[in-house]
Amino acid sequence: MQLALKDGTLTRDGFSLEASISFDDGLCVVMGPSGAGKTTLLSLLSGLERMDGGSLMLDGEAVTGYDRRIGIIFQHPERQLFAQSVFDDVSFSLRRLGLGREERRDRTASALREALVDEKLWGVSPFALSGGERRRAAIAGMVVSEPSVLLMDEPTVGLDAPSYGYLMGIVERFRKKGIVVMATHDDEAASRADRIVSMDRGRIVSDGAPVDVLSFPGAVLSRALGLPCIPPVEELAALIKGRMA
Amino acid sequence: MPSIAAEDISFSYGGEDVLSSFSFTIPGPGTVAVLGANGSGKSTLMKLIAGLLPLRRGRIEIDGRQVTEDNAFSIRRSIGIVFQDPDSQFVSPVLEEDTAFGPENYGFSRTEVMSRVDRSLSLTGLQDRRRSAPQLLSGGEKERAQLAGVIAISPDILIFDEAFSMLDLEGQRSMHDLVAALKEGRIVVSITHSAEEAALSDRVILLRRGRIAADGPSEDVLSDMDLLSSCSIRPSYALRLTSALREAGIDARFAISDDGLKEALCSLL
Repeated sequence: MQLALKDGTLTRDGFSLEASISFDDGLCVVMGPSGAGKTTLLSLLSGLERMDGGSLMLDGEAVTGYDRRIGIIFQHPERQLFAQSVFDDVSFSLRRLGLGREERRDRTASALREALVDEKLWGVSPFALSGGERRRAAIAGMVVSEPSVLLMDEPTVGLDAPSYGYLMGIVERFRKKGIVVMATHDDEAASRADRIVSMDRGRIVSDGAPVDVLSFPGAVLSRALGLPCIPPVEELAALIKGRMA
Repeated sequence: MPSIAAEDISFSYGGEDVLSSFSFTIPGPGTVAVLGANGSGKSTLMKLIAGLLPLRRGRIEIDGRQVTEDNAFSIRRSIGIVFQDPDSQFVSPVLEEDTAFGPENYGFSRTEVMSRVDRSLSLTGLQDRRRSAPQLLSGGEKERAQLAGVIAISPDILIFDEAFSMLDLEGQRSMHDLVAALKEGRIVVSITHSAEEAALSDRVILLRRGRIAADGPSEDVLSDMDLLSSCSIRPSYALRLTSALREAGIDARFAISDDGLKEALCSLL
């Protein structure tokens, strides 16, 4: 897959964004201070926002509006739950894919299981779930249609440990078969990326490897050890030990 | 001197107890984190302390006075809460009017209201934005604007309900500096699910499904990997790395924050 934004521009309420960027399969993280334009960039990449100028291409074809190959998980996706039951909410996006009833049911059930939502809760109103369950169900509703491009805006905010584990599992699964673009302030989530794009005041200001861009202790140590990437803590600990011996 | 005491409180929204037989005391000024996963009861606890939910079982004392339905309003005057989502809290299209809303409703004179607004906006670094619409401020400014409205009523007890989670690192740092400047003589309670954020408080009350799983100095509570995992809390990066080092046979001290991690690594060399 290749997603390419060429000379995309958007001006709103005194804020202006100008960006050209393309993505291949894998995980790209977008970072930058509040107000840098991360959310705006994602909305342009989704095809849901009309640009003032520029073009968006997916595998060489122009994207000019809603495209079911592109999925976006907005900030606080749990605020978009709306159906009568958790199950109906998660299966909603499958209706327009022209799948049979049975396949819709199977895919919804497997998405809910992956999201650690107990089967007892599938028939209740999404508003009866706890905060963590609501968030996971909302994410399940976005990934159930298995989009080729998954855009995520600050998905780790407010997640407890099980929900964080679920989300990172989704990221790993989708980056292997398509494009994942994730805006985040979470250094450790960002350390898994293939590349990190930094934004400031509506512009892309850098594009590089996590080990060169991040400044949390894991990145500092990895640089000090001359590593090409930032490994998980267990590997990092083993490498430190090796160096000390 | 501000104080909070909760004795044997329980609460349910109709089904299972969200909090059960819950007791703790915060005897005087200090910083306390209430740490818990989604659904652990931390927001309910905060609402009970602030009198936003009626208490049916157990007792809560604020500044030595038991909270009852009759005095809940007057006791609430000493408590200020900063919520996670500032957008749902603004009441005016102009920042200085929004900041004035609290003191005006407490019946202060016009001069007193204005002097409180001036003080709050300068303390939060928002003097230049006083004529701006709060809705159009940046994320970090919005959070500070919300705090300005809260400190304008000069509460002895400040509660932050997941107030920092939406901010970027710089925004979080500037909020923490502000909290450090405000904590003198006050009780500052931070409700959070983040072990990193809890490490900034002196004491941590850790919740697991509506009960207290641990209560003690943050260094003790936050350096216990098994305890945190049993409460569905993700241990801090510093703790996971120092634990991994110890498991690899390196005698590193447990660290709960990035600064502590730096010290632990330096002491190895």
